[in-house]
Amino acid sequence: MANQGAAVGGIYWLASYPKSGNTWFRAFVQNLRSDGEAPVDINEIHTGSIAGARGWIDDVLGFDTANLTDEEVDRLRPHVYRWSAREEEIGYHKIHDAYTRLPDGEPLASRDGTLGAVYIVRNPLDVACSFANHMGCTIDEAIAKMGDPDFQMARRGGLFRQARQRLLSWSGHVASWIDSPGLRREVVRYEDMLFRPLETFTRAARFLELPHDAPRVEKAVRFAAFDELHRQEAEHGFAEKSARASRFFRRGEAGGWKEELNPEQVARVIAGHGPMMRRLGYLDAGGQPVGGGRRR
Amino acid sequence: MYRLYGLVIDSELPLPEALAAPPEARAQARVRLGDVAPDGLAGGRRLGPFAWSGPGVLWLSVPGVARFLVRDGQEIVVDPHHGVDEDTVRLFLLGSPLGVLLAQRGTFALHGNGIRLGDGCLVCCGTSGAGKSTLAAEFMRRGHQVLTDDLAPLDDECRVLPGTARLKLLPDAAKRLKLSVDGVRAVRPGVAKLDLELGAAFCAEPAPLRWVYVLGRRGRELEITTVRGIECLAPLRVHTYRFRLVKGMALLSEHLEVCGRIADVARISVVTLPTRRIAPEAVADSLLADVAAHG
Repeated sequence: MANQGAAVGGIYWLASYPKSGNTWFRAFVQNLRSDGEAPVDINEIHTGSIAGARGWIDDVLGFDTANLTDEEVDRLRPHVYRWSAREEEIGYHKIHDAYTRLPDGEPLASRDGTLGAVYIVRNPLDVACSFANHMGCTIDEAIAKMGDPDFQMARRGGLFRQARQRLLSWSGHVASWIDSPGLRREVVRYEDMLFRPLETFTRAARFLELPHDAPRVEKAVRFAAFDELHRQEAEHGFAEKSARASRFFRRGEAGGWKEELNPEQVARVIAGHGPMMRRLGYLDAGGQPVGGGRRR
Repeated sequence: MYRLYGLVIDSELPLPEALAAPPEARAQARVRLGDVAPDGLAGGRRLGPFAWSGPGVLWLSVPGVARFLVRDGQEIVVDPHHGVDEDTVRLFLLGSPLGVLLAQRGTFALHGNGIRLGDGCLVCCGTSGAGKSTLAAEFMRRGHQVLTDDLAPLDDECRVLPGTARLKLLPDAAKRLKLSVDGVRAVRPGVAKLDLELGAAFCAEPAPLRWVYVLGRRGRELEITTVRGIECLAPLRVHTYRFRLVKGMALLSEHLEVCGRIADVARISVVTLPTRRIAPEAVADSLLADVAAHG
């Protein structure tokens, strides 16, 4: 009776540390799937609930996780994703949790329910600026959060529409997704989405089993361009903006950190995340930040 | 014997938060401790990782807490997990199992809080974390009575049925609203929410449903949009208490009828909350202004 049944579909995770281009990527996916004549409304991006959405978790479980501890909720989350993989053909769900495992070794994101993950990564020097705006904190505080190996979002103390999410440090988050054995993944750099959009989005779409012919990808890229997202937010607001931020789509560029971070802050980010930055091409052999000064 | 959501319930498990039933009352449903099969319902249909249904029956497991068997709108069998505390078992018993028992009796519930306004009842619906309880506390602070927290069942006349004289509220919300929380316990160990006694702020009598406000949509400014006709169905379905279980128990046609009745008697509105921080006082002001404007 405990048979969970064979999965008919599965989940592709659209994974990232916050403020790394996840929403932009989801806007691309939504435009690609809808293939409409006009850009999709940013408040109607329904690629799938975020992994931590309490509404999704509670619905599948059939009881209220608000009455559970964070650890109890974590233990149940793989069951939710495994079950959902049976119910939907292929789901594309945003996730900010690090790819962590429960004490029994099961990934929080579920082994059986997961088809793979696109991991979107952005230069942490730019993430620090954007993350500070998102969290409504100083850049120094944002850098400290990015260096905290125990950093969590939606922690108890408040009740949030999302369950507690463990992010680890920025480096820990990246490593958890890109080094985890047994996980099919495609790593996509924000900077490549910006400077080599067709090539980058086509590669990601192919991985996600989505249409990836050139005209369709080109149109979806155009409809999800930063200027369009920015325009829509200015006109109608954006539901996913945090209460602490003045706007969600802020600059949409690479290298903005050069104007926003002081040398000490740059040094602190590099000291905390140098090896991973070098690995992803954000530092040169001499340990200096690489390029990325072009704006949109 | 207890009186809860319009039912007289005979419970082996003490339910101190429920009102006592009058001595002459006859039980309409019972809660008893007993064995519930560990692996689901033989011959049943699986509705989720922890839920099965069969004819007139729902099997639900809350791992680490208890397994529940809800039968024919008459009985809930509770099989507590070894070593679990009674408060925790009761907290979950009074949620989905009781909501399902009511649904089996044709009494569907909205996922929301019921507030007495004049001779009617306003229900604020929303998923967990949407701010329902904080808003209920704000209404309470203004002198309005609370009928029910989280589970708002409706009788045949579309009256909201009162639940327990309790409100589950976060300490921060209680503090912001200057409610006294001295000696108030958490709803269960390890969970921050407080189990606040409503006292005189509890309304123990049913009240006709007049307004439904659905919290959850977010946008630039606070906005209240009234939906009518067929458009009422989607928000009512989404905010039906444990809709997945209701659907899984083949109760959809009865549910649809109830939605129709709700749409006939109540004004149903979707509340867009701004993405910036907004105080519960401001939300309550807007809802009351909307009520005043539209009657």
